[in-house]
Amino acid sequence: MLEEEESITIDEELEKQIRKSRFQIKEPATKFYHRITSSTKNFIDYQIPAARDNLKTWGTSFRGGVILFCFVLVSLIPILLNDNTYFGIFIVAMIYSIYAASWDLLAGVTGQVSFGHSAFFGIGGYGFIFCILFFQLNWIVSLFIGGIITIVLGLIIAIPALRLKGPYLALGTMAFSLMLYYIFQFPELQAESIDMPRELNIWRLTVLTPFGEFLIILIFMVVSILIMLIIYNSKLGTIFKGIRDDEYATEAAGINTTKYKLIAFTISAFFAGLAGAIYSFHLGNANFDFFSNARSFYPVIFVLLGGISTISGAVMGAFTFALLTQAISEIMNVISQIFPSLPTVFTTQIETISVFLFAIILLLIIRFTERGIMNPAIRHTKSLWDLLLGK
Amino acid sequence: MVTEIFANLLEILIFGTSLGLILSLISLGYSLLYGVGKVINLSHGMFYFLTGYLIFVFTNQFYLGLPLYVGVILSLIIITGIGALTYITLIKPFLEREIMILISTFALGYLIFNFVLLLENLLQKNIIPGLVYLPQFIPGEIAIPGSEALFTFYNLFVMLMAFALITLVYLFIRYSRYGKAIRAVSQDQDAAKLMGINLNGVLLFTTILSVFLAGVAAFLYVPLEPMHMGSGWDILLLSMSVVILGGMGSILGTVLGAFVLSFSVKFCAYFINPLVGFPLDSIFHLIIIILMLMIRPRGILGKKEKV
Repeated sequence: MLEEEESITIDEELEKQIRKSRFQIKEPATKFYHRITSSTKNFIDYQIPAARDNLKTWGTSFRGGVILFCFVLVSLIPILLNDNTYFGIFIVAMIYSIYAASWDLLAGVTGQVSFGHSAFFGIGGYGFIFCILFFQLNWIVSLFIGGIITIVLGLIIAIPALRLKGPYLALGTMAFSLMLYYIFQFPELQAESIDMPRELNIWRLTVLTPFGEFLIILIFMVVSILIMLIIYNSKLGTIFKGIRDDEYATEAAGINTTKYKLIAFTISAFFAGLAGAIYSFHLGNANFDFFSNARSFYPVIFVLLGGISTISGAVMGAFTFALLTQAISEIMNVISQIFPSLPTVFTTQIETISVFLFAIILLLIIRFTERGIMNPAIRHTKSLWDLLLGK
Repeated sequence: MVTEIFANLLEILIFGTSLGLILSLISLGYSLLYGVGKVINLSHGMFYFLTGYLIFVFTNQFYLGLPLYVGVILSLIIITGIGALTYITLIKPFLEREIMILISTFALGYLIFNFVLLLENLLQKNIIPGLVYLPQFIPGEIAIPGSEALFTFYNLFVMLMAFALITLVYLFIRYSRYGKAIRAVSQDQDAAKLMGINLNGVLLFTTILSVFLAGVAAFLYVPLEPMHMGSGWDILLLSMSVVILGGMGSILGTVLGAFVLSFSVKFCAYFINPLVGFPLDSIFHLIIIILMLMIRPRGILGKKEKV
C-alpha cells in the first residue's frame, strides 16, 4: 500500500513537471520574444562592431583602398567633367560591367561557359520595352520585370543545357542566341527596332538629364555588383566553385549539382537581363543587334581582361574597354586634324578598331597570364607602394 | 500543279545534292580537327571567310587584278600559314582544356573578322560595298525541265571537285600510313604517343588540312553564293550543325549530316516557308543544333562518349 501511494505521488509530481514543461513549450510568444531580443542585442553589440571593424580594416588595407579610390574616381570624373559624352561613356561602361559580371558568375565561378549571353541581354531589353508599351508600367518596375522575364528564358535555356557539358554547352547557347538574332530580324514580326514611348524618352532627356541617369545607373551597378560579390563569397558561391572545379566530387559530397547549376543560370540571367533593360532604357530603343554575336563576345573580353572568377575584374575590364575606346577615338580625331588626308576609317570605325585591338590583347592575356590584369596589377602596385614607404 | 511540284522536287534533288556536297566539304575540316584532337575550332568559318576575301582582293579588277590561279595559290599559302600559326600559338598550349581553346579561337575569329572589316573600309574600292563575289570561270548552263531555275556547269564542276576531295581525304585517312597515325591519335592520344607517333606533328598536320579544306571550299563555293561581311559566322554555324547532326569526328557522319541538313533546308524553303509565313530555312540549322544537343548530343553516327 505504502509503495503504491508513493508511486502515485511520484506520478503526480511527474505529471506536474510534464505539464510545466508543456506549458513552457506552449508559450512560444515569450520564447520568440526572448530569442529576438537576444539576437538583436547580439547583432547590435557584436556583429555591427565586427562588421564595422572588418570594413575599416578592408578600407585601410591596400586592396580595399584601391577599390574605394577607383570607385570615387569613377563616380567623380564624369560629375567633374560634366560633359554629356562622358556621362554616356560611363553609363555604357557601367551597364556592360553588370552584364560582364553576370557572365563571370556563370562561366568563371560556376564553370558553365556560355557563348550566347546576348540572348539574356536582348530579352531583357525587349522585355523592358514591351512592359512599357503594352502594360503601361512604371519604367523602374519595367526594368525589374525585364530581368524577371529573362529568368524564364534562362530556365528555358538551362533545363536542356544541363545535360550538356563544356564545349557543347557553349555551342548550344551560341546557337540559341543566334536563333533569337535571326527571329527578331524577320520582317513579319516587325520587331527589328522598337522605340521607347516618346513621352518617356523626352522625360528621360529633359527632366532626368544624363546626370540623373548616371546616378541612377551607378546605384544599379553598385547594388548589382555587391549582390554578386556577396553571392560569390557566400556558401552558395562556394558550391558554385565546387561545381566548376570538380562536379563529380561535389555531387559525391551530397550536393544536388543540377539544382545549383539552375540557380546559377537564374541569377546570371536576371542580372544580364537587367543590364539589357537598362541599356534599352539608356538608348531609348531595343533592336535585334542586342542579340548579336559580338555582344556575346564582349563579356568574354571584359572578364578575361580583368581576371576570370573575380566579379570585380569584370567591372575593371568593362571600364578599361570603354575608356580605351574613347581614348582611341580622341587620338584618331587629333591625328585626322593634323593629317587631313588620312582615310576616314580611323575616325568612323572606332568600335571595330577597338574590338580588333582588344582581341589581340585578349589573345595575349589568354596565352601568357590567364588570370587577367587586375590581381597582378594590384599586387605589383602594392609591392611598389611598400617599397616607397620603406616597409 | 502536279508538274510544279514535280519541278520543285527535281530542284530540291539537284540543288540539295550540290549543297550537301559543298556543306560536307566545308565541315569536313571542322569535324576532322574535332575527331583527332578534341579541338572545337570556332574560327573555322572565319578561315573560310578570310580565304574568300583574299582571293577577291587578289583577283578582282578593282583591287590587285592578278590572274585567278595566282590569287588562289597565294591565298591558300597564306591561309595554311595562318592555320599552322594558330595551332602553334593558340591550340597547342591548351590541349588539356577545351574551354580555353573555345575562347581563344573565338577571339581569333573576332580578330580576323574585324581585320577584314577594317581592310574593306580602308581600301574602299568595292563597287558593291560589303559584298564579296568571284566569277564562275566555267561558262554554260542547262535549264531544268519544268522550272525557271538554271543549273550551271560551274555548279557541276564544284560538285565533282567536292566529291573528289572528300573521297581523297577519306582514302588518305583510311589507307595511308600517316592516316593510320591520325586515326591512332583520334582513338587514344596517350597510347599513340607511346607507340612513337609524333602527337604534335599529327595535330599540326590536321589543323593545316582542316584550314586548307575550308580555304578550298571558299574558292569553290563563293562564285556560287557571294559572301557578305557576316558570312564567317554563318559558315561556322552551318558546319557546326552538320557536325552535330552527323556525329563529331567521323567523315561518313559528316557527309550524312550534310546531306540530311541540305535536303531538309531545301525542302523547308520550298514547301514549309509558304505554310508558316516566314523564312524558317534561315534558322533551320540553329534549330537542328539545339534539338540534336538536347536529344542526342553525339550525333547520328557519333562515338559514345561522356557528354
